[in-house]
Amino acid sequence: MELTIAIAPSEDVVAREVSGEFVLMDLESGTYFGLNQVGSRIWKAVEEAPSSLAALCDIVEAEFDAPRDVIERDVAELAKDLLEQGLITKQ
Amino acid sequence: MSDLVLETARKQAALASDPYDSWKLPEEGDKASFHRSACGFLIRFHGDADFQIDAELYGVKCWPTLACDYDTVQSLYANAVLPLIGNHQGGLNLHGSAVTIGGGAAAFLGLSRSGKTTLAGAFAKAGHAFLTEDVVDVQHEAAAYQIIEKTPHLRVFADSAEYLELAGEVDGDRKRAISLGDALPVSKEPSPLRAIFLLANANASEIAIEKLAPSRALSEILQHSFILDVEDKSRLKQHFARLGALCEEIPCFSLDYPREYSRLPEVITAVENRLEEL
Repeated sequence: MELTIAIAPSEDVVAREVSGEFVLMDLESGTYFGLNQVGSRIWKAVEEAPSSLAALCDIVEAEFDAPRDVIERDVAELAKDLLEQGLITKQ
Repeated sequence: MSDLVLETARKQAALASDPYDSWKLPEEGDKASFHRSACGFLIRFHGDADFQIDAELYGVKCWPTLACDYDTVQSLYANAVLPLIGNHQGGLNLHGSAVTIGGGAAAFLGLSRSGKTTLAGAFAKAGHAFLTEDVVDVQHEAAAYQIIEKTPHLRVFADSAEYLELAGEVDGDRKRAISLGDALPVSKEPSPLRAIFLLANANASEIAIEKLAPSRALSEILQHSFILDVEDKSRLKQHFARLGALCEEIPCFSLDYPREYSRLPEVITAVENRLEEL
C-alpha cells in the first residue's frame, strides 16, 4: 500500500479505549477488531484527523523504538487489514 | 419489567419479512430469527414460539407452537426475551452463569453448550452459592458491579443432572429446569462481581486459565451479549461503551478445561486459587 494514501475511520465504526488499547466495532456488520499499542496510537491519530500512512509512520517512529522499514511495513499491513474489514476508508 | 401475554398455540407460518438478525447454534442452524413487525419486533424461536415485543418494550405476546410446553415458554421469556429488552433499555445482561466465591461473584460466560450451567452447578455442589444460570444480570450501582440472583434452578441435560445429584425428570435430548430446592446452596441476594471467566470451547486436555487484557476481554465478551436490534447504532454504541467500562473494571480470564465430570473438582480449585491471587 502506498504511503501517500490517507486514511480515516469509517462512519459506522465505534472505538473504545480500554487500558490503553482500542477495540473497534463496525456497527454495520457487527465485526470487531482489537488493536495493540502501536495500532491504538495510529487509531488515535486518524480519529483526530485523516492522515497519510507516511505521517502515521512518522508518529510511530517518534514514539516507539523500531526501524523505519519495519514501521512502514507494519503500518501498511495494519491499514490493509482495517480497510479489508471496512473499519477505515481511503481519503 | 415487560408483561407477558400468552396467546393460543399456533403453527409457525412463514413470515412476510426477512429477518434482520438471527441466532445460530453450532451444528444445528438457526435457533431464532429477528423480524420487524407493525407493532415493534417479532422474535421467532424456531419450533418453539413467536414473541412479539411492542416498540415501547412494555408488552410482550407469545404464541407457542403446539409442541412447545409452558416450561419452554417461560425459559425463552426469562432467558432470552427479557435480557434482550433489558439491554435495549440500557442494561447489561450477558449469556452465562454465576456463583459466589469468597464473598463475591464469579461469572462464567460462554456460547451455548460450552458447559457454563454444569460448571455453576459443580461450584454449588462444592459449596459455593448459586447465583444464576443462562443469563448474568450485571448491575452497575454506586460505582460497583453486582450480579443479581435469579430463580434457583438449573437447566441441564440428564447426564449433568445425574452428576449434580439433582432430583427431577430430564429426558436425554432436551434441557429441563430443575429447582435447586435444598439440594445445593443458593444466594438470596446480589453479589459484587469479582471476576469474569470466558469459557473457551477448545475442549483442552488440561485446565488453562489466562488473564486477558481488557481490550481482548472486550472483544471476547461482545459475543456473549443480548442485542435486540443490531441495526440501532446509537444503542449499540452505548452498549459497547458499557461493556468497555466493565472490562476495564473487572478482571477477565479465559478458562478452558477438559469437558469431563471427573475433572470439574480440579477446575473449581484452579478458579478458587486464581481468585485468591486477585
